[in-house]
Amino acid sequence: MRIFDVHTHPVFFDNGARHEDVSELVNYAKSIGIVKMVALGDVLKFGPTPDKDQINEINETTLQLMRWEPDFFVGFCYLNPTLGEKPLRKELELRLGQNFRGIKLEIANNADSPVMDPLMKAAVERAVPILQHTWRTAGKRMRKTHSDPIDTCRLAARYPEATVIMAHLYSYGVRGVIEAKHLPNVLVDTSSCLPFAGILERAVDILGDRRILYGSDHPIREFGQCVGRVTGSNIPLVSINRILFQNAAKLFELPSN
Amino acid sequence: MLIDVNASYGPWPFTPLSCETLKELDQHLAKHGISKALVSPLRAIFYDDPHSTNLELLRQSRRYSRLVPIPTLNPSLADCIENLEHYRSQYDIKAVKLYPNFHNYPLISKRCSRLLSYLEKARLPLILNFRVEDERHLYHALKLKSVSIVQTKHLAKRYAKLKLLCVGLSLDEIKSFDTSFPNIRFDLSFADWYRLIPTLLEHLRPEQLMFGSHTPLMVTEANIYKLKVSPIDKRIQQQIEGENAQKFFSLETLSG
Repeated sequence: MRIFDVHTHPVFFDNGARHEDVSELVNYAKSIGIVKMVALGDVLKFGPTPDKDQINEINETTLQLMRWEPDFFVGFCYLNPTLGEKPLRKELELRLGQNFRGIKLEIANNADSPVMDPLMKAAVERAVPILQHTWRTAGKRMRKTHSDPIDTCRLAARYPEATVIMAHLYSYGVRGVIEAKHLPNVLVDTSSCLPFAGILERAVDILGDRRILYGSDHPIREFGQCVGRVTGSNIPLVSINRILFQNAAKLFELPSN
Repeated sequence: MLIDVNASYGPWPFTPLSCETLKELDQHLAKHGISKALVSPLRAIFYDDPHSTNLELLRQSRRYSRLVPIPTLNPSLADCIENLEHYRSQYDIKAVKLYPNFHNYPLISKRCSRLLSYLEKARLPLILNFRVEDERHLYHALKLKSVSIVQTKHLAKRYAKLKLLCVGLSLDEIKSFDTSFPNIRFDLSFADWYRLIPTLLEHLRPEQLMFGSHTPLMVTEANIYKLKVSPIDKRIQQQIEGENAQKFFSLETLSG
């Protein structure tokens, strides 16, 4: 079993990302079949709306991980769309030049906000996927900055050429999957929350098994629980393998066998 | 030897689940290598009086050596202890279970205290359910808070000899009990974090942790695999997988 985890924050919080801790993490992950890991950065280190220097610091940490374990970590560039086009473009170009492979968005703004437009145009131009934090927030005040699936899917509908990874399937559940049903440029990741039964089966039923990516949200979640929720679901083995590895391998143009 | 201290069966009103019958649950647990499971009926959570579902559980579970029936009690009902005594006179009861947030009573209520005194005196373990779902993702018409940690600590001190297993707590909630409550046990179904068990063992003794799958609401394999690949000593893993539960609930010979 090979696993590609598209949603991690290998940050170790108070301890910082020390090389020995990162090596221990990588060895442990490899021992259970995780061969690649998307590192998204310590995105809340400076709160929901980091400035450009703080963004730079977060992405530097991701770069360090990529340098320590170049065959293991795939870096995503964390951005704050509310800072405007110029700093956003500058940071993105810097990181793409360092082999970052995607964009990570958290809770600086709602995904359906017009402030997203420059970022989306850049993502389409540079053909990089966007991983958007998405949570079950409809009817809640937090939705102003925490995107609901309705918001993330509206964004994806406005930019059909962009690939949008809608994070946290186990938060928004079936309602979010139905929002994404007719948007082929939306992928969902299985990260975070607890392993409640039936959600992945419904997602495969509605989206098919090629639009779902395995994610953990490490370190908030234990790898074993996150892998087990996929391998223990009532879906065919071919679908499990696609979700755990092949779909991500295809997205990042790696050999899938 | 895998002993599951947190399993249920029956319909769930908000989503279709497997394991609506004891037969289905037994087959499902066997498939996952679970030797014994402490089982309660989900219907008991929603019925105003869980007595009928308990009787059904106790009668039907006799056919399945893997399943250990755990009656659900509602201490706010006047005949709660009377019913428990009836169960005990007819069946080998290993523990009872409470869902205070669903049945809407504080743990420090007089009637609850009456039951806890009874359980303490009888040396009958209590399984205290803190939550069945993640409060952040509840069905919109079902708004419940989890059980009070403060009240649980209060009762643990007041009933120091009560055998208490708390199920459905998060990592931080379990950690908050620290070494002041060495007699409380916890299942791991809702606890989650990188290096979960090593982190918990910085605060608790290995004897205090037990495997709970929260089947059928959770994916059974998720909690099995969480324990299986945890970077802990094999001896401690065996304790958490089943030995702790076997001792705590005085469970007899295990079936395959």
